[in-house]
Amino acid sequence: MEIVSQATPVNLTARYPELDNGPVRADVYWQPEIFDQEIERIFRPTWHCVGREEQITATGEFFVKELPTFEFSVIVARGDDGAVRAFLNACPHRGNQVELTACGRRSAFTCKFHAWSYDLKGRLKSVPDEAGFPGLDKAAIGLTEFPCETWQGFVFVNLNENPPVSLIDYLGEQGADLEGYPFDQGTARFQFAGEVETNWKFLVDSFCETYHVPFLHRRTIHSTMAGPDNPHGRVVDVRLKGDHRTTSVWGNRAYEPKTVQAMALTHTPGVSITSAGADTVQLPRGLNQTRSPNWSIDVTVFFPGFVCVIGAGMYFTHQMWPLAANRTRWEMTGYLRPAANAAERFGQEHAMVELRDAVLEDANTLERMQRNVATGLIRAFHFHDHELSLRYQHHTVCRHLGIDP
Amino acid sequence: MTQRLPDGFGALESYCEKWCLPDSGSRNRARIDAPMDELQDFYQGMLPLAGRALDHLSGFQLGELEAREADLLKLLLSLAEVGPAVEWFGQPRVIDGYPEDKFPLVLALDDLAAQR
Repeated sequence: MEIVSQATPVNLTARYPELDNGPVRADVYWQPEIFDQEIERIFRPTWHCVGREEQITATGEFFVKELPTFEFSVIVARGDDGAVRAFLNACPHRGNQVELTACGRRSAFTCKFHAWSYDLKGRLKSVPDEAGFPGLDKAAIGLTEFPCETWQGFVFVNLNENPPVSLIDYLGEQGADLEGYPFDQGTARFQFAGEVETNWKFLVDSFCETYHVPFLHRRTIHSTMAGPDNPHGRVVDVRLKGDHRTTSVWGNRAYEPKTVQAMALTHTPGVSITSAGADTVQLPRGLNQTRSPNWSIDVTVFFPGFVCVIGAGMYFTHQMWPLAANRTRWEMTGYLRPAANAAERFGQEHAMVELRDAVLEDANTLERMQRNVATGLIRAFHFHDHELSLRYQHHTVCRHLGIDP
Repeated sequence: MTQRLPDGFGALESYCEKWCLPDSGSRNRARIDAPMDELQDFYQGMLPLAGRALDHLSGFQLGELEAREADLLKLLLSLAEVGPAVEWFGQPRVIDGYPEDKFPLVLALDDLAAQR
């Protein structure tokens, strides 16, 4: 059986001599002091994805994005010069939130408190009863602007006046690998979001290994990501690129969809997380890099907390916003192609429901793990060779913090 | 009784009152609040006509649906919601599932509007 060889043997970690197969310290997942260091050394310096360019195509279109880790929001707006800018959503007058609407289109942002008004470049344009501010230098006052750059339509902000690295250097080879994927076609968006009582790394981990799929997901995606020729749900490949990494997930081509699932797949091909054996000819070389005929999805993590799950006909992202050592805001956004007809709307809905139900299987476990490790009684974790993505995250975190893994 | 669905789908009329719902969130609530035998009944009742309903709707564009086609699509969207309860879990909710209200849908696809 040719397909047998497509389930990768156990040898992934050995490709990276700097990694061993041993246990790793668990305290990194719960110690508050380590968490504080992660925020300062990992999350504050990095680039954060705040949305997609398709959300703001016309001049003056904007959206407001909360950055839960940092407890403020940014206004992301398309200027009359076509540029996308990001501003702290706070009025320099006395600090009130300037924009209260989630998204829309404006020629100026006007604070509701005293009606100080700012143009699309964030410059202060008008101050009511300006005579009451003798010596006010309007030209020196504006919304605080953050470095904002786009990549493949994703809008990123950096919270530092001078970012430690440019966006393109941050994304590096891992970013280059995904360039050319039709991200801009996924304009039919949906999002689930909530807070989970778990460490941000546990949440990232749960989408980066399929070792748990035959067990935790035995009723749902087990039979699509494992099969008789790959009973343990081994992955196709794991690749480490800079601080980032990609797991190529195996798909069972012999899977026979359930009845309603089959109708969704027939009428909206490629939209499901459970598809396998997709035609990847048109995809960038970096996706399904081994060109496995059993490929289903790639899970790319842009370190630390931006996870892109990419299939042939859809993609979705997870964004993990750490709130505390044991609490994370989790945003899962799906990007589907527009429905070509009314029947395709059914396939979209089914894909959304399947994805939601499958991830709802994960979160209770993540909270149980957190409660247990926080006792300090679990001192070490053991990673499977195909959990290399998790091991590498651990090493990357420890490297940034200057501690032994 | 007023006909709500296109000709040929009369066998599904009785499901309209319960399962033609405003949006994805209300469909999920209806699913998790319903007893399993009601979900089974809806699923089994929809199956014989669902394929033909999809074929019918493939000739229509979102944003341009007549009321009867809109209701037919609404029923199918509820079938999409109910499908995993029957095909995966055998119960309305995800088994050992995280509470839906702690991870809610905060941005939904519109049911009927044109997409671009």
